[in-house]
Order: sequence, then structure tokens, then C-alpha cells
Amino acid sequence: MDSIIKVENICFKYGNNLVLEQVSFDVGTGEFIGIVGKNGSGKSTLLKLILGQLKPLCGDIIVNHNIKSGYVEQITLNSDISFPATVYEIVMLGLYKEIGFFKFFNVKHAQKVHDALKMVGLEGFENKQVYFLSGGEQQRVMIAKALVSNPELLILDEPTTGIDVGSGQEFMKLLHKLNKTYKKTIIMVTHNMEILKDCDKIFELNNQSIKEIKNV
Amino acid sequence: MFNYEFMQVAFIVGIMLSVVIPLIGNTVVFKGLSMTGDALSHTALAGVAIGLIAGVNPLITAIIASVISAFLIEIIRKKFYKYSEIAIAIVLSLGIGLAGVLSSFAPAANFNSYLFGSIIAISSLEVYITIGLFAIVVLSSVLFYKELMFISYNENNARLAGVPVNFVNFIFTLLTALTVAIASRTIGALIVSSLMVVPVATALQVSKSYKATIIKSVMFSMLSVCLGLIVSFYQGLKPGGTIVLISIVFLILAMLFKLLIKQIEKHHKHEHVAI
Repeated sequence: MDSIIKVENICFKYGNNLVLEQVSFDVGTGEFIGIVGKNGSGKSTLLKLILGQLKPLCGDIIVNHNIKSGYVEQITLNSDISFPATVYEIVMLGLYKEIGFFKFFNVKHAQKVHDALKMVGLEGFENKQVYFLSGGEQQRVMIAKALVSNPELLILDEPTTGIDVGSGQEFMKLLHKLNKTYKKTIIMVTHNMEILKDCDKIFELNNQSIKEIKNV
Repeated sequence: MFNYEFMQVAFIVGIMLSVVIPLIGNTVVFKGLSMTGDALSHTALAGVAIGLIAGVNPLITAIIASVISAFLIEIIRKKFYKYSEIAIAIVLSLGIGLAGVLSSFAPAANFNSYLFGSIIAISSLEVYITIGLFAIVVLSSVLFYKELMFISYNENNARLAGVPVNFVNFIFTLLTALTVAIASRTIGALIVSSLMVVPVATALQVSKSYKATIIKSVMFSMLSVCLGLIVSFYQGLKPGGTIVLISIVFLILAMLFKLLIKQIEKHHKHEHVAI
């Protein structure tokens, strides 16, 4: 299987606080990877390093340059979501890179938004205000925003935090559908091992290092 | 009313500003910096006092003071990222302090005209400046529509997606400062900050989308300015204060309308369950 991401012996510090040390792993094309760890174990830092928001102090992260990635961050209720926008408007923002500066949204982009919403099971939700949707639906909107530019890789940071168990299970079903049917490679960080039971690989971050653990 | 040239000019300038101010106000409110207008208008007043004392056109010194304080807010905001409002409080205090101390050295009549504006005594230079401001703000709002929306939604997320956040913030800060300083001369420093927030608050009560919020805030602002000018002309009231009070009336009506819609929806739900 081709590697989409190769993490090789990376280390990272916040000030004098060593967060990651000699961390290595591979993500193959089409894999669904789960990364678990306690709060403060460096899960989100690892994602930021993969996304290029942070630079490792040592080691390398080799990301296949031909791939596009979509990022879904943890929803912080009462901030982003209280913004007065429709589902359509929020998902459309996911096309920013494709549209670029000084250019406008057009009909072709509207079709892409419609397709992304269909993929996450929110067809017909275009004109609903995001604020009034349930936690599970709001998270699906965020997935659609990440999917609208048709990325091969989806990176998710604690996507089920703050939503009820039932919605969380539905959400995981959706991610597996995106992985199997639409061939999306997925890297998901969570502190909840239970929801990762059907992943291809699970890594655990503990004491600055990473190890692959057996499927639960 | 329109037989008087000063009323024709007041309407033209008033309508242009009623479009410009909420266009700026939307982003200000969404960024959680609703009091920006207040802080800038007070530092603009300090600028007016400096101009009057130094014998320079007060509009120029007001613009300079407003631009400096707008960038000061941006700089302080970055230092206290989670408590952005602190930046406004600091600059507002600076503005009040300076304006308070300096106003005692400036001619009182001129200074008061900046406090409450003088929309019925606008010079032709001020009309041209307002036309320029109107053109720049409307054009920027169209050109940067999706960038401003993304930054208002989530600044970090926008940066990640490749939005030139620093550049757009720079342009926006400059336009906010120019709007406050220029509008202070015509509708008054104390009124400009109200028009920046109240029509947006009204629009938020009755809008589902970002686009609708922007369009409706401009509509409410225009209605407030036009009705305010008409009422103040026939009743002999101060135009600035009348405009703000009418905008507050619209806000109350919008809140009542929203409440009514909620009650009707609740009633329909109950009926549906009963059936």
C-alpha cells in the first residue's frame, strides 16, 4: 500500500516541555487511522505537525504532495456556531483555496456544496441556520465543509466531543462510509477508544512516544 | 422639506453613511468588538480637539487619531487574544481622557458639533469625502465578501484555508477608522458607534444567513436615517439623537416580531401533537 504520510522520528517541545519524542508511523492510502491518548498527550500537536501548522524540532513528516487534505477541528460551541450563517454558507467556505482571492462563488461551486451535503446525509439542509442544528448535524456540516474541495485525506480532531452517544455512533458510521465508499484516507484523534473499534490501525500516544496497539 | 438644499444634502450624505456604517459594523460585531466604534469615536474627538487647538482642519486630525487608535486596538487585541475587548477598553479610556482634557482648550461650539454631528450643515468638501468613503467601503465589502465572512466566522480557520488575514484585517481596520472619523463630522461621534451596532443587532433578530444579516442591517440603518431626518425636521429635534432612537425602536420591534413568530410556531407544534 502507498504511503500518503510518513512520520519519521519527530520530536516537539513547547518551551522546555517535551511533548513528542522519536515518533514514527505511516499512513497508507485509503486507511482509517485512529490516534488515542489522554488529555495533554500531544494528540492535537501531532495533527498540527501533520497539517504544517507547527514544525518538528527533529525528524521529518513526508506528506504526498499530490494529495489534498480537509481538516475538521473540534467544534467549540457558542463561538463559530453562533455565527449567523446557513449550512450552505459555511460549507462554501471550504472552497476558499479553490476559488482564491478576489474571485466569487458561482453555480459550479454551488453544485459542489450540494454534492458534499449529499455525501454527509444533509441534503436539503442548505438554507438552515447552523446554530439551530443538533450537535451531530453541526459536526456533519463541518465534515461537508472539509469534503467540499474533494480531498483524499480527512484529518479530524476530537470530532465526537460534545455530541451525544447516539449521534457519535451515527457520525462514526458516516466516517466509515466515507472511508469505504468514497475511498477517503482518514486520520482521527480522540480520547475515546471505544469509537475506534472498526479502524484499520490504532496508535496510542503516551509518555511522548507512540505505539500501535491492538484493535479493541 | 426637499425644497431646502441643506436637507437634500443631509439625505444624500445620510443615506451613503447609513450604508457604509453597518457594512463595517457587521464585521466589527462578528469579531466580538462591538465597542470599537465607541473607542474610535472618542479618540477621533481627541483628534478634533487637537485640530481645533492647533488651527488645523479637525477632520484631518480626527482621521489621523482614529487610524492610529484603530491599529492600536489591533496590536493590543493580539496581545490579549482571548480578551479582545480589553483592547477597546484601553483605547476608549485613552480617547475619553485625551478628549476630556483637550476639549477645555478647544472652542466649545465647534467641539460640540463633532459630538452630536451637524448633518444639516455639511460643506461640499465633506460631501465629496463621504462619496469617496462610500465608494471605497462598498467596493471593499464586495471584493472581500468571502474573506470578511471567513474571518468573522473563525480567524484561525480562515488563516489555515489561505485567507490573507493580516492584509484583510489591515484594510478593514483602516476603513473602520476612516468611517468613524468622517461620519463623526456629519452624524456625530456619539451616534456613529450606535449605528455601527444597533442595525446589525436588529438584522440578527430576523436573519438566517450572513448575507441576509448584511443586507437587512443596511436596510434598517437606511430606514433609521431617513425617518430620523424627516421626524427631526418636522418636530425640530436633533437629527443624530432621533436617528439612534428610531434605530432602537426598530430593534425592539424586531425582537417582538421574533418572539411572536416563536409563539406561533410553538402553538402550531402543540396543535400538531393534539391532532
